[in-house]
Amino acid sequence: MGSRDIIFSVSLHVLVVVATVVTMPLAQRNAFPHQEVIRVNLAAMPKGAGLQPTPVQPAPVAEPPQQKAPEVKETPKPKPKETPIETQAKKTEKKTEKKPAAKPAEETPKQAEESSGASEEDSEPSQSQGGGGQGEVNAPVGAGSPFGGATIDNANFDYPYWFTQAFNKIGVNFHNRVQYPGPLVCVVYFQVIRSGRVIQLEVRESSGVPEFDDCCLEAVSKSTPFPPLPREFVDEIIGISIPFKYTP
Amino acid sequence: MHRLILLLATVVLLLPAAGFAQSEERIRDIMFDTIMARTVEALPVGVDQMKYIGNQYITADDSAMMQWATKVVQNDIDFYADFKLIPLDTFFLRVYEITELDILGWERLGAQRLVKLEAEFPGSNIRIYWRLFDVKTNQQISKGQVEYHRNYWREMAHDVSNEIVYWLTGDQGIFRTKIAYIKQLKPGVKEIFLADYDGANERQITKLGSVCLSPTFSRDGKEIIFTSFRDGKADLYKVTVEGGAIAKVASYPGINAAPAVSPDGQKLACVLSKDGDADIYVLEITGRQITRFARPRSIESGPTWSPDGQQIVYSSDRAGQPQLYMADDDGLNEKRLTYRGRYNDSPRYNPKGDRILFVSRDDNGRFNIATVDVRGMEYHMLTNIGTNENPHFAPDGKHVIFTSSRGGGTDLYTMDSGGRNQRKLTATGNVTNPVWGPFPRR
Repeated sequence: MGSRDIIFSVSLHVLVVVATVVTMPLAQRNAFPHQEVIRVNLAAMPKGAGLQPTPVQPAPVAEPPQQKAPEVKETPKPKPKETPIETQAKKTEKKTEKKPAAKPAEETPKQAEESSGASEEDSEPSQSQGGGGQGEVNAPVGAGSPFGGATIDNANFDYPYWFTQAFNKIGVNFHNRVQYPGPLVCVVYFQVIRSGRVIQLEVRESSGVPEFDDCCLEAVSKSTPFPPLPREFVDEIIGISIPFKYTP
Repeated sequence: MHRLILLLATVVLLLPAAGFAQSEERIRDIMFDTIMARTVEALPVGVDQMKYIGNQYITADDSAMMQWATKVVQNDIDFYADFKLIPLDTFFLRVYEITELDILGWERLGAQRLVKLEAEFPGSNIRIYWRLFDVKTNQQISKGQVEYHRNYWREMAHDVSNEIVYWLTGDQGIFRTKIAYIKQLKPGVKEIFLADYDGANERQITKLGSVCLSPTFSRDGKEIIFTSFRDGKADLYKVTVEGGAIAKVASYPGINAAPAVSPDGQKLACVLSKDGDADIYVLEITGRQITRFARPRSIESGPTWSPDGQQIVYSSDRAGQPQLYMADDDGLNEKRLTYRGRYNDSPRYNPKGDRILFVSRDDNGRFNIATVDVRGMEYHMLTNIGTNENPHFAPDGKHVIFTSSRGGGTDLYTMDSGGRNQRKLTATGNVTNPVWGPFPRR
């Protein structure tokens, strides 16, 4: 090896070192926006709303006549417009128009029959309504709520409370361990039988990041058993799709 | 020149490694923070006053029984980690000049679920009908009835509460579980007591007239295994929860202490000093030795089994002061769990197997209850008042019982597994070593 080669080699190494040192902080900041990751993971969840469906309240004008005292309508409630996910709110408003806000217990089966002909698309707002009950008490759901847009494949299942309980449980058990520069969505599908046990659990739409998919599956599997299906619900099984969302 | 090249090459190679280490540190921070995000607002639940639905006059005692049964259900709901009891607002009733609330009134009070109770008294029994409603939609979620002899009204009320928990969460309620603890009756005399989870129905189990320590339940909850100095040294004994005859389990030379029954009920992890320093040993449930975790020149204590029975977590002072370690049940594959805090002791696995409770001494020398995940990364301090020790999970993993001196003497306290709702359970100031029994077998 001649002295020329050595000088060339040293120069090259020095150049690489200088380039690495100069560009590292910049590259790190761009590649791993850690602070943003923390903020996104924590922003919604501690308020008890981040992992729940969009809270939606029936529009006072759209409510059908009720047997209850009229002052209920005067109760100040958060308006759907305040929720960032407007499409969810609109869908739920439509559903609310069909159904009295407070129906007698005896009418439940009848109500279930009425909604039995509804399409899968129609059943979606009823889940959002489930979260709405909880959302009333808590802060409104912020953008990035992982469960906005959940769907059920059994339109007869019209029990908002059940979704509130189940989604809260999933929310407690959802621990995202993934850091990723872009948004992720993983749709998980699972079937629940009468006892609340899950008999099928799968990723319907992968996020493309296996670790994130695993976190989503784990959130559901750790949440079992879910509350049992209501006694009045005649079917033996329901299937639910939940989109888990991650926004950096 | 060659040295210079080598130096430069080393620098180039180490720089990315330094950056990676920095990233690792940040990842840990994130994981520590995310634990705070695991809480969900408690569900507001109202419990209406129990109503009599029979067609005959009832006695004042029966009326009082209905009130007390309602109170028990209300206390259970208030205690439960996932719920928040909405109390009946009598001011509300007076303002509206009504005697009872309808579901609309409960909604105005903030309840999202409502429990309605009714009772009748067939013969010497009491029969309670319960119905659970979703307040917002007025949907009946479920209903049922329980019937026992009048003497068991408290158990009936707990059964109703367990049903409410089941229908709202899918989980098994803890309201029929028992707790055991040590109560000092006089200097040098500490006996084992048993009570309902809420402190009611307290019974003395042992009457040995000596010091009893470290009680633990058998897997079926029918026996308590404990340490006693009855024969002048620390040996392991067992007694039925009915308080029958005492039987010796292990009496090796030296200390026999800190028993922990394996999840399958067939083995016993404990601390023995028969071979020198106090070490962890695994025995058959009958007391015959199976394994020794040989750790020379250090003291091990407080073993606790993972729910699958594969691992044992314990504390050891080999690093100078007690820290938590985890090993397989044969003592192999040991790893250190805790690095934060100078003194970590008394570990207890949670029923899910993902977290461990322990006692941690803070910089001010005070003992507090903390949790750490099984990877040893996510710490969470649960208490910050007084001296807090002897933590133990409820079988549902949602609640914790522990002792604290925050009120003067040492008493039992309970809290949610996240540290919320810390409540005082006893007020005698002489209670230690609580353990929460398993779910009763159906």
